Amino acid sequence: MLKDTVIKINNFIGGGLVRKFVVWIVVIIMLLGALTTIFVQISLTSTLSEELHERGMAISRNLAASSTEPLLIEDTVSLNRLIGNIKKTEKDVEYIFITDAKGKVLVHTFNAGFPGELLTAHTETSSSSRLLDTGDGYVIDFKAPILNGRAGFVHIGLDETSLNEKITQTSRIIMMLTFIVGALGVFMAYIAGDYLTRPIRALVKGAEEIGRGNLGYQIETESTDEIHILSKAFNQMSHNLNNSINELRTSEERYKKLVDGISDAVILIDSQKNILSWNSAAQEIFDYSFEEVVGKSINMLYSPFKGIVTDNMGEILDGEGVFIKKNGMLFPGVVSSRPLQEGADVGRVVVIRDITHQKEMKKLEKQLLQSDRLATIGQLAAGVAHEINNPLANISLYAQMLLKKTEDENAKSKLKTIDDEANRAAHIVQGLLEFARRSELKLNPIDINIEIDKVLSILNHQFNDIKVTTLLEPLPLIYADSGQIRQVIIDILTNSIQAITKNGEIMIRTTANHDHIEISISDNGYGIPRENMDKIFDPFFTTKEPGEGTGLGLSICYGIINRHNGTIDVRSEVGIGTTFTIKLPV
Amino acid sequence: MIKTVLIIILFLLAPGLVGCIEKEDAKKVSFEEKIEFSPVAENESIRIGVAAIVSPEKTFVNYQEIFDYISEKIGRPVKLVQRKTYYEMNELVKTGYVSAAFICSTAYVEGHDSSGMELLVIPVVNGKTVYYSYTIVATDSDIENFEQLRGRSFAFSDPLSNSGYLVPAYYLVMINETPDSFFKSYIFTYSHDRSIEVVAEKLVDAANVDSLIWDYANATDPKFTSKTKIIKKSQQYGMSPVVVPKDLDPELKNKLREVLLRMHEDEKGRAILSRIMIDKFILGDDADYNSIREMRARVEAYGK
Repeated sequence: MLKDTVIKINNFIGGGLVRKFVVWIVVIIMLLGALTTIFVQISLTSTLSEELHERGMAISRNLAASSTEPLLIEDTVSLNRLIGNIKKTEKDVEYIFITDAKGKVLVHTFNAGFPGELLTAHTETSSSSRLLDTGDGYVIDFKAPILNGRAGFVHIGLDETSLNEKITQTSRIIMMLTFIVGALGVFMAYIAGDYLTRPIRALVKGAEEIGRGNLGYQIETESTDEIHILSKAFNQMSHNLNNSINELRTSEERYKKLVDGISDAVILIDSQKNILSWNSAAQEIFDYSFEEVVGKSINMLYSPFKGIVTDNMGEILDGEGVFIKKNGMLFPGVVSSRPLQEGADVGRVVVIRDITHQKEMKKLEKQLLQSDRLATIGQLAAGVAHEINNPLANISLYAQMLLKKTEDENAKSKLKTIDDEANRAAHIVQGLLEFARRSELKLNPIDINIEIDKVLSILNHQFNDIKVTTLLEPLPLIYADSGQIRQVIIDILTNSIQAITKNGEIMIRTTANHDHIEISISDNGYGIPRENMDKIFDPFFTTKEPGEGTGLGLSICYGIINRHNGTIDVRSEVGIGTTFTIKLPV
Repeated sequence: MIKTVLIIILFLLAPGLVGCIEKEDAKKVSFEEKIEFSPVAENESIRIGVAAIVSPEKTFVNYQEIFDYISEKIGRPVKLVQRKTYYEMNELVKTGYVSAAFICSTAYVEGHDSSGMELLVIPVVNGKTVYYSYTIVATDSDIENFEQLRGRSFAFSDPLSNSGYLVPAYYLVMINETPDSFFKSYIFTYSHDRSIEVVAEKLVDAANVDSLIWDYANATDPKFTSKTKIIKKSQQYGMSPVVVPKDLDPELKNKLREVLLRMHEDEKGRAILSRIMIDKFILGDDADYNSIREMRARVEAYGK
């Protein structure tokens, strides 16, 4: 309560320590002055009143004693002289009068006549005093009986004014002293306050210096008191702070170098997934400056099309993802993240490794392997085909010659079978030769969309219940062999039709890019098992029953697209469907 | 800064604010309305004087009751009149200012012989109508007789007192001395109680006092008498009487005499009388004062 009041007063005073010091000193001096004045006034009033009272009583009693005889012997002249002398010689005597026992005034000192009210103002019969208010001031009427009041009474009026004047004068002196002491107090309190607060101000300056970053700032002190101890402690603190901060800086630099030395992007995020910090590798990988990403969500680094930033719980998913650079380029990466503090959601360290290079290497390796294998198969097949072609032609030729010469129906039928089988073998050999680039390309400028439309019209009757959707962007003309391209599309569509079991949907889509066009054909058929994915372009690989397909369709497609310097990819998942993507250079 | 100044001013004012301390309940009295007094005493009252046989204070205390009694009996206010000296009182009797007066024997002799002052009554004290003059000294004084007072200081009471002046003056005449030749110094106290007092307090070495006064004081208030001793007792003299002027209204004179003579007959009067050790009042005889007349003649003759 008192503390609150003091705080309130201090707030009211405001300003610095010196000012508070001065104000408090003055307040205390003035309070003491006021108290002293009150005390002196009270005690002086009582002392002086008592003295006045005693004097009044003494004078009145003496007068009563000395006036007895003149009163009794009716010596009015003596009485008059007596009271006249007393009035003249005693101070503060306003009036004197003597009455007989019946209250008749015998003598009095009033020059202008006796005021009648005075007779009834003081009716006590014993020796006593009574304060009278005359309108001009206060008079104490002292009454002393003569011969116990049987002979008469003496009245003396003592003026209180001089008493009050004395009190007022004394009070005035004390007040003046208080003011002087107060003024001196202000002056001395200012000097003392200034002197006493000097070390505190030095401390304040020191604190400000440290606040400004001037660590290790030292205060000079001369005193030996608590302030000195405080100053020493401050200096020690400042010194330690400086050392600690330096150590911290060194350590931080070391860690920064360590983190910057990592080739992966190391990103520090808070619990809201906003970026707090990252290393220089991250800056290099994503090509943003630190200022551009700080405080922003880490989601900005994820490709919005491909990547899944978080799982259902909003957590960062570890594993592969697709990321986007400042220039919009996407790249694959591997994410691993650790919480900053176990068991508390204060943020995470996210490490993203750019795996573009690895991916490309792997793909190239795979393609190389595929091409190699297919090339070997192609050469082998071409050699075999070349060697088999002539015997097959001879078989067919002789079978036909024999067919013309014989009449036997049974023989005829068997010769016909030989000829058919020979032709079928020739057809397979032809396919093999095509795959092995043995056939010439007839390149003309064509519009792929038109070729797709032609294919669809040819296959129209085969779709039955299958819903075919086309999403064909306008495409530039490209140089290609239209017949072979059509064959590729037909083969892929045929595969799709065969893969579809019910509620079939096929989506054909073309898109134009700056250096190539893309044709993708998706179905919702039963898909290709993962273990078959690497083999689907191999010649003679088929999942169909023997005799139902040659297993050369997709091999030929691969060969055609390869000869057009394009690529053919397949993505498939069992139960969901398959997508073939063909890219052809413009 | 303004705040600081405000605070300082507030505290500077504080001592001044306590200046007013409550006055005790004062009675309002106007000095404006004046009243006049008539300096003349009311005429319907009768004045009775008492000579300063004892001091006016004692007289006042002792005689006021008798006066109140007389006043009650005669149905008129009675005013006690005192004067410092016997002479003054004798003059008041002679001029008729007082209607009656209690005076000393010598004063009666003087008044009777010069202006025909008449005896009204005389008091009877302890059954006697005579008294003496005692010569007293301090109890521890080495003075044993009047002769040893030569070169000492002495107190007379009143020049018209019998026991206080005439008697010691007569003693001196008998040995061919005057107060000036015999005493180192002498004073007049103008009352017997004061004479006893000055001896007791050793302001003087000796004094002659009325035996009735000394005996009365010794019996009622021996404060001073206990410090004095009697070294000489005079012959007896006629009692100090109550007198009236020569030509006082006979009716009043009779009335006063009647009241005083009958005073001891009722209880109240007797009580008052007993308090001042008077048995009663009786009629006096001028012849009882002849011894004083004789002494007075001798003393006066010696001076001439």
